[in-house]
Amino acid sequence: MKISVKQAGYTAAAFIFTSALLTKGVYMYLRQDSWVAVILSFLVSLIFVYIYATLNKWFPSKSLIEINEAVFGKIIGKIISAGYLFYFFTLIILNARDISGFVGYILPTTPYVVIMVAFIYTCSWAVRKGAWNIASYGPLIVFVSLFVIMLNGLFLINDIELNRLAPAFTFPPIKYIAGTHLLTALPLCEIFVFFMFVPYLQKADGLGKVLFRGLTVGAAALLFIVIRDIVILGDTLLILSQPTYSVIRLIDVGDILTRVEILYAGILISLMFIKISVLYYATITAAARLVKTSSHDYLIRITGALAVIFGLSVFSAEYEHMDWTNRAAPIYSSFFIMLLPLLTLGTAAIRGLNRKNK
Amino acid sequence: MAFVIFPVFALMALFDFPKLINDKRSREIKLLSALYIIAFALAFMQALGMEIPSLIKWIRDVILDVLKIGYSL
Amino acid sequence: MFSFLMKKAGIFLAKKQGAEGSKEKKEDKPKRLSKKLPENLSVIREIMKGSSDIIIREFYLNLDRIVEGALIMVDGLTDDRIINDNIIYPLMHDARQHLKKTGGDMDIISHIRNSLLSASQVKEETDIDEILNGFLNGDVALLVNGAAKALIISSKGWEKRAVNEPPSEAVVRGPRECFIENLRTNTALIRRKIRNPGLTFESLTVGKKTGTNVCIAYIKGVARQELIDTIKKRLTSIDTDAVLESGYIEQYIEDFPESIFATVGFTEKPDVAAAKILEGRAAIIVDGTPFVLTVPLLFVESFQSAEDYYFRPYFANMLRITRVISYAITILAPALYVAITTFHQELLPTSLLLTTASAREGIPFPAFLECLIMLMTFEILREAGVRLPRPVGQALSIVGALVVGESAVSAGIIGAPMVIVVAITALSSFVTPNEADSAAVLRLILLILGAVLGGFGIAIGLLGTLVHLSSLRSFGYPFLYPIAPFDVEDSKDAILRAPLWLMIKRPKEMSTDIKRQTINVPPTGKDIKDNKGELI
Repeated sequence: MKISVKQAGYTAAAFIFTSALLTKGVYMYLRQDSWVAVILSFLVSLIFVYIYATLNKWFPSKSLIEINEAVFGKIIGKIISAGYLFYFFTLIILNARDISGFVGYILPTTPYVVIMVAFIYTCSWAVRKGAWNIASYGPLIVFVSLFVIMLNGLFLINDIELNRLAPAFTFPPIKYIAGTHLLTALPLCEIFVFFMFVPYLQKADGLGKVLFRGLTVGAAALLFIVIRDIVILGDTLLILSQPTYSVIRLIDVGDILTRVEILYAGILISLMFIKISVLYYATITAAARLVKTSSHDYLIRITGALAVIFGLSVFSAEYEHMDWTNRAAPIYSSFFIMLLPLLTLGTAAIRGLNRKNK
Repeated sequence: MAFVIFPVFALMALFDFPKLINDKRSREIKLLSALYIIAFALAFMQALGMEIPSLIKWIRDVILDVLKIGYSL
Repeated sequence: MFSFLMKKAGIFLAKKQGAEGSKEKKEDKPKRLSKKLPENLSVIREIMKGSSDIIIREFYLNLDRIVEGALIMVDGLTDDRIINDNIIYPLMHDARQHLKKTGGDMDIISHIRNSLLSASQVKEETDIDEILNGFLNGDVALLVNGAAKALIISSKGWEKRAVNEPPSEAVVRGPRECFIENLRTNTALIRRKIRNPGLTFESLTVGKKTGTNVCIAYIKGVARQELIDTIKKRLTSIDTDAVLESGYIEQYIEDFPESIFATVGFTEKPDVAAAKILEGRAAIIVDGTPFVLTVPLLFVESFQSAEDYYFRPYFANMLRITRVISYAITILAPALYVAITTFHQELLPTSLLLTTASAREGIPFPAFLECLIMLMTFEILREAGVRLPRPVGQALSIVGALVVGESAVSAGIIGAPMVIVVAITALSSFVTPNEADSAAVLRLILLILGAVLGGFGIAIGLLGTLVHLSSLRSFGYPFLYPIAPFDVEDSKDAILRAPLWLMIKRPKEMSTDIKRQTINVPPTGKDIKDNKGELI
């Protein structure tokens, strides 16, 4: 069964606002102007979505691995595809580490390995049932999460002070560029991974629509979250380690509706579940297509085991995590998401592959 | 506690290998066995408490120290 | 994992069965009737030896010559009046007059069939198996000396239940008819709801020794032909001795036998079955049971009941939301209680926390064990309540409530909050009776996950359930439709129900005939005129 474009689009939206819920990298450079960064990075991402959509139109119904081989030739294509495989795998272990850290905060005495094994096992189950199923309950989880986020924002109307958004536009321009780059590379363009879903879409060249819908919904949700955090937290934005979590903890409606962070934890686990399932599926299909085997079912368990093994040892201290996210992660991501696709597009245009396929 | 690794990997192999062996797909069997051996070795080392090399640290070192293109706050 | 184990067991046993070879004896009984009556009767007597309820009535037909005939019937399955008045009387008394009118050459059997028998259904058979089938089903078999054919004459008349209120699906508003164990009455009840020539009942027989009659009911042109073909294929491939209830058939034809969720629905009410047939589904009626299967089944149907459609939308939607919340309570309440008291005590408001802590003060068991004990006690009480004789019922409910509720708490075995939690769980499980079986297992799984990993375990359990549910298919239909592959149009009747006059189309792909009505905005009263002829 083929995945419909709308469903895949809403599933893609999950990628974008999940990371905003979890980390504070979004607010690092432009504290109260982060919403400007969101809008700017949305516009920049549109350019990249256009690049991905063009690649998809030139090579309809081919996934990333096959495009690389067609454009760069067998050997270099395989090396680049192996690079993409490595990138997807590191994304899995980073996200798994993120969610295990969060859950370890809720369950303090449980060793990380238990949490990670339980989570990765559930994700492997989702992958085993196939991409169509992920795309079918993805939109459900995204809608419920968006509803919960809006509701949380509604409960906090009391604490909003709009002048926390001021002073606006006072940072040096380099910071705006840095903030935009961070946002584009990390949350917004991770939807690039949906390139691995292209062979299963109903429309062979529908990737552009998928990514556009995901980007729009995700960026709108991200904007809402960022503005809500800024106007409620103000100066304490960078002091707290998890700004969004702290915002939710402030909800106190008439002394009855407290401790709403359970809902927040619930939707975060669900969204990360979708994100890691999609990444997991992308890794496995990339590996299967790289070594040219017909099915990818046998790789599920071992990839899960490797993800747990590497996920446990990825950072030995929280400081390393922050250091990686803020300093090195944008560069690492942009190499694979921005540079390589541009290179692929350029090479394909030079080699005239777009004319052949028309 | 490290001996928990043995039954876990044995159970996983029990589910994965019979189908491949029945279909006689030698390429996949070789690939999967290689991955299993690597994973088992790493898991065992980790369970014994030794630190296994972290992929992210290598990348971070390359980006920040070798190429010096990382951000600096 | 269960599917893996089941498949392995199935393959192993199938191999063993193939190795042993077929050990069925090939009996050497004659297959067809002979022209001599004594031979036929001795064959049939031999086959049915020992049964005292088989009656063989030999008599002479009153033709121009003495012709022996015999009637074979089963005492208790037949209506004696039909046999005496409509079969024996004409054959004994009227045969001679009729024969004079038609001439003497005609084949006796055709003559009897066409002119003498005043019965509504008559079939000619030559095969002995068919004759056995005929009179074992309640008809009467007429054998005549000199003819190698027999006549099977309908004369069914056995004791059957009256059509009453369904015991398991009582409604406040709506028809109070219920299916009974008789196949023909059930098909008649459906036929009375759908007076359309397209309504088709296809008959088959399943079960080698029980010979159960099964009917597939659908509307030609509305139901998809692929669905009906799939059902027929699966029913004809059932190769077993006994099919006693529709549950047997359900377990043989369902898509995912290893899942805890049923993908084939059942109902006891004719209006529910008729509504499903009108949507494009098929109903499978099984002789001997009032429970009629409906395929395909969607998960959201477990939260729907017939009276939702007979009430107006607002109240109906409230009822539906209550059902969904009850299902959530029945699977989550024990797990949440255990998770919160074990891992997340900070989630309780302070006053509640203090009372719960003091209630659990002297309890020797951890919360998980307490919960297991209470759930098991509840299941025991429920089973006992179903099976005990009526005079004892009252006493037992008092005993159960007093013993479990009061004494166990004051003896310090379980805590008071636990009794409340299990009571709420028990009550909620009766709100959605169609999903009670899956809820019982799911509750246990979530309880174990909640006890091991707290709130995170429950979240993972629910996500795993979602993954499992969305991978189920009921005869090709995604089980969580229209929620999981979300469809805006078909959500008009998913959890909440739109007003009837807005439900214009049938569910997509369930039928080839999509449109079921035209838009019919309800009259707004603006066409009522008063005495003078002016609009009010």
